[in-house]
Amino acid sequence: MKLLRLEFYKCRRRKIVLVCAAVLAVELIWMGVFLTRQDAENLQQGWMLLLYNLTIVDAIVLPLSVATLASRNCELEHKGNTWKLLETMVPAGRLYKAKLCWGALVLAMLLLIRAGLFLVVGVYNQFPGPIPWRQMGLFTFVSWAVSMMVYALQQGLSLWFVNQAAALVCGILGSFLGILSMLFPAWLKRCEPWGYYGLLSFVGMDWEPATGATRFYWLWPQAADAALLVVWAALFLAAGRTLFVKKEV
Amino acid sequence: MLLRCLKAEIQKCRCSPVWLAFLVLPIIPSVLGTGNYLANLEVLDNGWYSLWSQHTLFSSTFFLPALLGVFCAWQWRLEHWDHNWNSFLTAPVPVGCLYGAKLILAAGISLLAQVCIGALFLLSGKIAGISAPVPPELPQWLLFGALGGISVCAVQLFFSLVIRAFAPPVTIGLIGGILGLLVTAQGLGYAFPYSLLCLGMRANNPQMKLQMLPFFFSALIYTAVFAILAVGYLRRWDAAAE
Repeated sequence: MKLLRLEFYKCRRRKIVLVCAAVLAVELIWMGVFLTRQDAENLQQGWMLLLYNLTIVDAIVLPLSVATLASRNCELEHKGNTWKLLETMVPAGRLYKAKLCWGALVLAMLLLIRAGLFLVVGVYNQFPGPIPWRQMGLFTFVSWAVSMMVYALQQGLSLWFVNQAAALVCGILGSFLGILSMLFPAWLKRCEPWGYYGLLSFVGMDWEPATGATRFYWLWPQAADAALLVVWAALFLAAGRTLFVKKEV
Repeated sequence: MLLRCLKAEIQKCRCSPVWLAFLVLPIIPSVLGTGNYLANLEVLDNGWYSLWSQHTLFSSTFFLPALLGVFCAWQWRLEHWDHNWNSFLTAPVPVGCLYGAKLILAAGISLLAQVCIGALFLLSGKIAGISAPVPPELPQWLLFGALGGISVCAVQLFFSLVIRAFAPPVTIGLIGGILGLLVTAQGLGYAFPYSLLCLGMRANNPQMKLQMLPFFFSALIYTAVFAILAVGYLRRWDAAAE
C-alpha cells in the first residue's frame, strides 16, 4: 500500500492527467464528428451505434495510450537510476506489483470517466430507448480488462528496455493491429493481444451491400474468449515479472 | 558546417537499431493490405491502384506519423540524456546547423520509409499476380509521401525538443494522425501537417488527385514555421541539468 502511494507520489508532476485528458479528448472529438455525420435512421439505434464505434476507437487509441502511461511510470526509474536504491529496500516483485496496481487504478479511473462522458453524450443526443446500464458497465469493464492485459505487456517492455523506443514501437504496432484486426477473422483476432478489443465487443453489425443499410444488435462475447484473455494476461505478467526480477541492476 | 553536424548525427545512430523499425514495421501493413486485396478481388478490380489503396489504408494515417514520431523523439532523447545538452549547446556550431542536421536525417528516414513501402508494394503486387504494368506514378506518390513526412518530422522534432520525455510526443504523433484523418474528411487536409502525409501518398483517394500548389505551399510553411520555432527555442532556452 505504501509502495502504491509512492507510485502516485512519483508521478505527481509527470502530467498523467494531461495524457488521460488528451485520450478522452480524442475519443470525444472522434465520436462527436462521427455522430454529427449520421442520419436519423442510424441514430435510432444510438446506444448500439455508440458502443460499436467506441470499440473501434478503443482499438486504435488505447494500445498506444496504455503504452504511454506504462512508459511514463517506468521511464522515471531508468532516468533517475533508482533501481539500485529501490531494490535494496523492497523485493523487485513487490515493486512490479505496485507499478501494475498503479496502472490498474489509472486505467480504471480513465475508463470510468470515459463511460460517464459518453453516457452524457448519449443522453444529450437523446438516443431512443432506456440507457443500457448493464452493457455500458460491462463494456467499460472489458475495455479495462483488455487494457490491463496490454498494460502488463507494456510494463514488461518498459521495465526491461531502458530505451523507451522499443515499448512505444510495440504500442504503435498494437494500435495498428488493433484497427486492422477489425477486418480479421475471429481466429486471427485471438492470436494477437490487441484484437481482443474487437473480439469482446457487445454489439454486432449487419451490413447489406445492396441497400447500404446497417443494423446493429446486442451480442455476448464468448466465455472462451474471456478465458483466453486471462491466459494472455497471465503470460505477459509472468514473463514481465520474471524478466524484471531477474534483471541485474 | 551543416555537413559535419549531419555526419555527427549519423554517427550517433550508427549502432542503434532504430532504423530497423522502418524496415520491418512496413511489412505488416503490406502483408495485411495484400491479404485484404486478395480477399476482396471482386470489389477491388483496379489492379495496382486497388492494391495501393489497401496498402495505404491505415498505414499513412495511424502508422507512419507515430513511427516518424518515434524517430524524432529518439533523436532528441540522445540529448536529453546523460547531460548531453551541455556539450550539444556548447559545440562551436550555430544551433541552426545542429537542428538542421537532425531535420535532414529525419527527412532521410522519411524517404527511407517510403522506399521500403514502395519496394514492398511492388513485391506484394508480383506475389498477388497483378499482370498489368506498374503504375508510372508510383515514384511520385512515394516522393510526395516523403515530403508530407518531412512536415510531420518538423512538427514532431519541435514537440520532442520541448517535451523532455519519450512517450508523449509519440502519442501526439498518433493523435495528429487521427485528427489528420478527420481534417482530411472535412476537406481541410491541406491546412494540417499530419494530413499532408496521407494526401501526398494519395491514401483514401480513389482519383489519386493532388493539388500541387497548396500541397507544396503547406508543406513548406509547416516545415519552416516549426523549424524556426525549434531553433528559436534552442537559442533562448538554457540547458537544464538533469
